[in-house]
Amino acid sequence: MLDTLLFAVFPYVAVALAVVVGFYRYFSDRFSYSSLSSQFLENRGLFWGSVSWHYGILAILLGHLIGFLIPRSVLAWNGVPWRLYVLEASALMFGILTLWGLVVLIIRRFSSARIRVVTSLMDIVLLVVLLVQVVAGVWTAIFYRWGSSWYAGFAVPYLWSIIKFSPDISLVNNLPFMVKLHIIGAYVIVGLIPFTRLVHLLSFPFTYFWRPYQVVIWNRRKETRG
Amino acid sequence: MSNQNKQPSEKSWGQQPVTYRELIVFFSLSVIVVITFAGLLVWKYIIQVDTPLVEATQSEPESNGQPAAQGSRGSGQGIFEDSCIACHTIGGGPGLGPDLEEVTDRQTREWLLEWIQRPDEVLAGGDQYATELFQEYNLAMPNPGLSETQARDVLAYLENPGGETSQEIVLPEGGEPEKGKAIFTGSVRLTNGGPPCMSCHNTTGVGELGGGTLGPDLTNVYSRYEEGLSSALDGLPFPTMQGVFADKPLTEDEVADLYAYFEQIDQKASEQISYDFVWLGLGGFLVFSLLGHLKWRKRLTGVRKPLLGGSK
Repeated sequence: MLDTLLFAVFPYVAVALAVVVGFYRYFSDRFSYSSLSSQFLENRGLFWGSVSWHYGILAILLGHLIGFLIPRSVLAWNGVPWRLYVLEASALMFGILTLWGLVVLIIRRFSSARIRVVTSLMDIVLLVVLLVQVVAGVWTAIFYRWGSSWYAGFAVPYLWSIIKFSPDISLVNNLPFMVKLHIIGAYVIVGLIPFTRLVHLLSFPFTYFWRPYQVVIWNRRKETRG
Repeated sequence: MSNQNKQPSEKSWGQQPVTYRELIVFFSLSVIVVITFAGLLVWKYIIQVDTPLVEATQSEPESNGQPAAQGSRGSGQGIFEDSCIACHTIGGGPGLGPDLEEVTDRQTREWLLEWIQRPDEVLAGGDQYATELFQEYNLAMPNPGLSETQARDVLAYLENPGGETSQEIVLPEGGEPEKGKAIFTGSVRLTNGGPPCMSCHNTTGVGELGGGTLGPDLTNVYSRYEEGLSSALDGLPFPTMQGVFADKPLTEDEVADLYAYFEQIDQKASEQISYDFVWLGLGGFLVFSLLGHLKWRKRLTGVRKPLLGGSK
């Protein structure tokens, strides 16, 4: 019963919440559709935290997406053990990078007084949820390893069953607790998107990739760099 | 499209400064999270060293509230042939599980009814008979996920099976161990599209860093299951695997090849799982961080440092 609720009902609730509240927030408070600056002048922690986190999480999400879209190709790649090990070690590397980045960002957010005043309750909620999610993911990668292969057997058909509106929870309800936690955590995060700074996912400034450089000119005498 | 773009107000979404109380809540939560994970780690690797071969499952059987006192024998036969036959015979000798001929004379109806529905819970509850079965067969019966009505149907069938399904176990022949190993690792794909065994299982000598750990080590599965192995491969009647393999069963040839492979590696001892790939991951992480640092080592000398103007 609980499994049905969590694995068959909750995903729809989370997506519905994300869409409805996402639109509402967009039309009622459009300027908030970003990730509020966390004092980018504080640079050391931000570099190690934000760069590690974002490279890590992008690679990890991309990996999940690729596994979801072309599971048979991933299985074919994994058919030779050393290729499987290369994939798994790389994935774990990005997982650790993500975790490291997140921990640095958490420490930074609460160790700097400047950042603390721009920290909202939802930032805190989000950080806790992300921490649980990333730890559960890395845990799964290490202790229930070769997930890149069994993801194709368990998670992909399960996710398709959700998309086709006929959830098949028999695929996931016997998995270990930490794997279940990771699945539920993903839905929680989807549901949290419109309530948190995660909306910056939807307002990503793609045009920055091809805009011209911005030239910064200083109107100061002593500074020599321009 | 709305055209009332408001200016960000003081009470904009999620942008109020956080209070100290919330900070305390956050830190408590973080500490709880960390302690929980650490506790689980300790529990998993220090306290709970021996894990049962088949994980206990939590799948809850459906109950429709009004179970018939007496089940339907016909329906029970169908359920038996779908869910039980991979491990049990009626008068055909023990397979993975006991021969169920006259099982209703060995145990009470109530016990059997409970057992059919929730073997995992009965065993976990320390039931003596269940524990003896577990020790004898070295295998915990997976929860078949039957409702109370279905369990009564099965029981009705077991009380009066009529003898027509008595089966003998036919061992698969002609399998090639090499082919079986290729199927195990996945270099030869399963015909019906299931993921390869190595995704979740380890055997001694498979790959440099071993197989998966979601499921149990299968190095000595041949001697563990004896004749039952072929029916286990045939139906894969394990709760975690059922969801995946129910509609992607192994073919007869695949069963034979895997059977031959397991027979061949049976004399090897199962080894401690190696976690060397974690070091690879950690090493990669350090290299990546170092490269990032080198690539952006001038990051403090560009725009931001002058902006900061020497202030901290």
